[in-house]
Parts: sequence; structure tokens; C-alpha cells
Amino acid sequence: MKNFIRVLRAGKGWSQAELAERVQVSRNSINAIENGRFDPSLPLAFKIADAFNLTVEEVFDKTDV
Amino acid sequence: MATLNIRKIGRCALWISPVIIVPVAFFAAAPWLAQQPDALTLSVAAAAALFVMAYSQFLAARVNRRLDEVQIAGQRIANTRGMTIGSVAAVIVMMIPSLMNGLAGLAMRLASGSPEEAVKLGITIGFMLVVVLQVVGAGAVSLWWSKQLKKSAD
Repeated sequence: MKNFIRVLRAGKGWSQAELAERVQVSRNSINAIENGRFDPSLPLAFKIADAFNLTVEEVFDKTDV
Repeated sequence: MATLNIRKIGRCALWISPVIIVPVAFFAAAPWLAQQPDALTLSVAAAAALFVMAYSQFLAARVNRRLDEVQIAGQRIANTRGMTIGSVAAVIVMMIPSLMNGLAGLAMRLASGSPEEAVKLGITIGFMLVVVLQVVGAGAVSLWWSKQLKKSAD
């Protein structure tokens, strides 16, 4: 699934490792999600959205479902 | 960073070592086992096979505890594909005549010439080989998967 994690992360000035630490997953996992190689579960998608103070729809592109 | 990696690899090797050490020790003890009663030889072979299987399961459970969902998905792929690859590899390896003869010879030596015991030991050794190759297969697929995940990392 397409997402805007890379852009949002850059906006906050966070590295993948920083975001990974915030949502308690590995950096490789953030990389996989960011590059669309893995679709996260709903709880993880909410955690990522929460980290950016956004809704899930604002982080993940639902038109790509 | 390099020290951290070396430590991590060292710790990992230490945890995995029993899976390698036990089969190697079993084969190294083959000449001694050949002189022992059949019951003892069979018991040692069965204990070694059971240990390798149980310890592999223990390691898998321990590793899974600290994994996130992406890594668990990777492990699932590694387990299903790796096990299949390991089983196929075991069949291919057992088709190599010199290796098959070596294993049969080892079973015969351990069984002190008793054909019935040799068959039992041959099956046990073959089963151990399958398990070891499945573990190696799962490890290889796991490595491949983690490399895939690392691609395009910043």
C-alpha cells in the first residue's frame, strides 16, 4: 500500500530508526512499510499515524487498496 | 558499530552452536559408539536427534518473542519456504551416492553389523540430516528476506 511516511518523516526530521523507536518496531520494518513491501496491521498503522499526530487515512493512501 | 556487530554475531553463534555441536559430537563419537551395546547406541542417537529438534524449537520460540509483525511475517516465510527447501535439499543430498554410502557405512559401523540396528540408526541419522538442512534452509531464506527488507534503507 502506498503511504506518505517518507515525506512525513522528512517533515519531522526523523530518521527511520527514530520512527521505529516511537512505534516500537525495527528500523528494517519501517523501511519495508515505507517502501510498500509490507502492509502493516491495523494496530501498527494506527501507531504510525499517532506518531505523526495524523489519522490513518492521512498516512496511508486508501486509493491504493 | 563493528564491535556491536561482532558481539551480536558472537552471541548468535553461541546460541546456535548446540545445534551444530551435538551432531558433530555424535559423528565424532561414532567409533566409540560402535563398541558400545546397541541399546546405548540407539539411545544416544535418539537423544541427539530429540535434542536438536527440541533446541531448534526453543531457539525459534525465543527469537519470535522479540520480533515485530514484519519480522514475524518474514519468519513465517522463512519457515514455510526454508523447510521445503531443506527437505528438497535433503533428498538431493541423499541422492549423492558417496554420501549415501558414507551414511549407510556409518550406520553399519555403529550397529556393529546388525542389519536391523543399522536400519534404525540409518533412519535416525537421515532424520537428523533432514532437520539440520531444514534449519539451514530456514536460516538462508530468513537472511534473504532481511536483505530484501533492508533494500532502499536510508
